[in-house]
Amino acid sequence: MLDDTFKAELLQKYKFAGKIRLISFSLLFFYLLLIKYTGGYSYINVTFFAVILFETILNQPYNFITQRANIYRFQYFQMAADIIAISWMVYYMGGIEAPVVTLAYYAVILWAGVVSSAQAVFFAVGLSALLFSLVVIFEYFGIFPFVGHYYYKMLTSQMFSVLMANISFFFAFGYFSARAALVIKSLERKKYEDSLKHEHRFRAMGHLIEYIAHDALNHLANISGYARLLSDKRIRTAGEEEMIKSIGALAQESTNLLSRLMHFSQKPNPVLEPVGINKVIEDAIELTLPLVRYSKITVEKRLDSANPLVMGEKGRLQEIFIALILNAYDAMPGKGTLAIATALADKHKSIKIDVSDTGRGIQPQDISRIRDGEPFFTTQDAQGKLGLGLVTTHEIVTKHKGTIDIQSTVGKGTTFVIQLPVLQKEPN
Amino acid sequence: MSNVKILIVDDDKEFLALLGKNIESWGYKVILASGGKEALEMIKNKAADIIILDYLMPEMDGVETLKEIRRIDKLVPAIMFTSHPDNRSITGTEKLGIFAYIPKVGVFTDPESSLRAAIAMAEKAKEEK
Repeated sequence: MLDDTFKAELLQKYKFAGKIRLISFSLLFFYLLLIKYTGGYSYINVTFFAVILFETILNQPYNFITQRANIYRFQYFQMAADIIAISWMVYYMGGIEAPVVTLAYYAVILWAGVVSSAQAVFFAVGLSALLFSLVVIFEYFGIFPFVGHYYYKMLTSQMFSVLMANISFFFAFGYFSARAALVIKSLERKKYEDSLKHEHRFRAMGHLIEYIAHDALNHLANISGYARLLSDKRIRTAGEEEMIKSIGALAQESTNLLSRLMHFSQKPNPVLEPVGINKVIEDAIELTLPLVRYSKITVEKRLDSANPLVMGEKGRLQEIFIALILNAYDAMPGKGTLAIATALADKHKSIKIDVSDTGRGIQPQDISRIRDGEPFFTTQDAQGKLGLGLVTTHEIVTKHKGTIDIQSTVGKGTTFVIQLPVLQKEPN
Repeated sequence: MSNVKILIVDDDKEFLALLGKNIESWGYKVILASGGKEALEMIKNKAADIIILDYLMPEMDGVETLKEIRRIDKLVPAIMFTSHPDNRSITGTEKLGIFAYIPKVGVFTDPESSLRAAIAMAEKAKEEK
């Protein structure tokens, strides 16, 4: 799923780069036409068209290629083809004496940085430097037959210094391009993580809302039932006051349910404050109760009576437990027990929270992928898709300077062990 | 007062009591069960003429309960409550002989009372058999 999104984005960039390449070649073509009619040099011949045709063909069938080939490997072929074409152009237009064409190398290096990674930039710089120096030296010393239109010849010393200058520019430019690549990557990563945050929230809400609405509707049905009894004296048995009290209680219950949901649906307030972890866990259990109640899962909680405080964002901490509860719910389609226990650990410096289920468990190789916080990795079936919460959990715990560990036995169950630093009391 | 006995199964006891009174006011006899297991016991002891059950219940949901009931009594007409405005999400009930699906939220406010109409139809169907 993630792969598809990334592939689609990469494909878009490729297509964009293809357009740029096409425009550059057309500009070059017009430039060559211009010098043909003003200077009388004719570079435009069959070989030139062959190169243009080759590059154009390479540009077009991206949809076809990405479906069949590894797009990440393919980009190296693409870059290599570009650099070979440019080097050929350099040779064709006079080697070291035709410096304008070398600009095209920079385009490839820049593109490698923007679209791909630092490795791709290194590859582009290295290959450009190698092929450029080969072409220039071979052309200069006549190993390749001379085909250019520049009739003056540089001194050998001048040729080497221009060559070296060009190559060092490649490397300098490559460095900036690679830096840009890193910046772009981290920006994209951040954007993606932000979207993930909301994605998880929305999915969890979508799952809860059906059951919360069900409970709220039941309360409303009961309220209207009382209203009916109050309006019909014939069937009334209980006292009026009692019924009015019941209506009030039902309204209050619905209000609690819906305000909890509304609270969860709001973007969390990024303010650090002392948070009682027991309250956070109890809120999460309450919020998921309408869902859990209709399953065959029993919820056990053993919360440390010391009720330690943690410095953190309340809303985001709550998200951890909602994610873990929903995850456990998904892992136990039949009967099962979800146990949440908190205990002070590490000489009262941190709080250890165990969330365990008796579900299907996680395969060992999958655990390491979850540990790495691999985006969109989920062991749940495509239907459930709540595994997204594990990535969010990982992110939130790390942000609160905590750790998360997973112990799981296939077929027996999974325990998530979270440790969060406890807020230390100021010495008086 | 009709002699028709209606068994209502719902996990919400408050709703059970309210609906029971309401249906009694229409002139039927009412038996209440707050879960699938209790309902099964009642079906075993004294046959109900019509069953009304909720779809969403803890432990045994409406469909599971009805499946068990069908092992004992194949013919008793059943009416099911749903929270959904439509019953698309309820599947696997084709062979359970559900007479009608009624949205729970409108039970007391629906002026036409589709529940009352469904009970009347079920009563008629029962007599014809």
